[in-house]
Amino acid sequence: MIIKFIGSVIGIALAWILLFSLNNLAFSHLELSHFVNWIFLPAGIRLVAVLLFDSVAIVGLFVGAMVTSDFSHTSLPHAIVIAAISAINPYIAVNISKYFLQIDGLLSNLKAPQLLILCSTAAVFNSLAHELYFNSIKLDNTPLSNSITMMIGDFFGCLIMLYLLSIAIKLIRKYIAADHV
Amino acid sequence: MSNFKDVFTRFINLAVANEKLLAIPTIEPIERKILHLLVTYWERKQPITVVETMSITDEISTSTVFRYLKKLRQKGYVELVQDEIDNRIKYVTPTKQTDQYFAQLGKLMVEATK
Repeated sequence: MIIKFIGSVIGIALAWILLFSLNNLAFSHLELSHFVNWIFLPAGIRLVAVLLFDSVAIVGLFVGAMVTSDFSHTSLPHAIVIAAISAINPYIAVNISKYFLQIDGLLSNLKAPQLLILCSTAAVFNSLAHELYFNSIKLDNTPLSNSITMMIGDFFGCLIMLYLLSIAIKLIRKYIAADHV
Repeated sequence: MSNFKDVFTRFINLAVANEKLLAIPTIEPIERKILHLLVTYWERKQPITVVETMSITDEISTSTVFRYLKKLRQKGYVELVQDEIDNRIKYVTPTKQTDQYFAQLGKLMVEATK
């Protein structure tokens, strides 16, 4: 049980770190500030991790966010709060959406358009929560524009992640089919 | 904590929903035939009802046409618009997806003639 838990946490954290690094490599020129980017790939991992692993995703996302925190831009207490927001918000957003969309625990009645709603809800929750915190500690002086950018970045990050997931599944299927020929 | 079986089940369901999100619905041959027959009416700006569509060709039975018309509607290629005066009458109308489909066909035809 503990091994499964630790394995899931490490897996989610590693996925976060990988996508965060990829995002920095590919989209650093789209950064508005250290915390805000027009495309944010790790947002996709937030959604997928919560959908697949439920509450365990919170720990994995928190660990991943802490590892990728830039302590030159923020202190440890702030980094912990920001990582906690990053981890808990998708869980809240996804579960509230699942409740209203009547999606069951195993996602057996999950429909394609509902994925877009989940992406949007997660993006809205995350950006609002981050902006509220940034404003409360006076970290960011332009609330609305950065909030909108973060929302867009998270939404596009989710969409790109879902697209990459579908490509990965197609490749796995082709590989399995080729293996059985 | 969920077991791996639950995680795998969720992954499969997520993958299925994700595929549908990104896939363009394909058309079966009979659906294509019905759509091509319907477009002759739409191009002439001639309204066509569901009942008229069911008799649009002698090659396919009315019940079969109706069944495939429902599929076309589910896939987003047609819409059924109720008549303003008589609620029993429904007109079969094209959608943006139909326009995209025929635009794509047109492009392919032009490329084929080059």
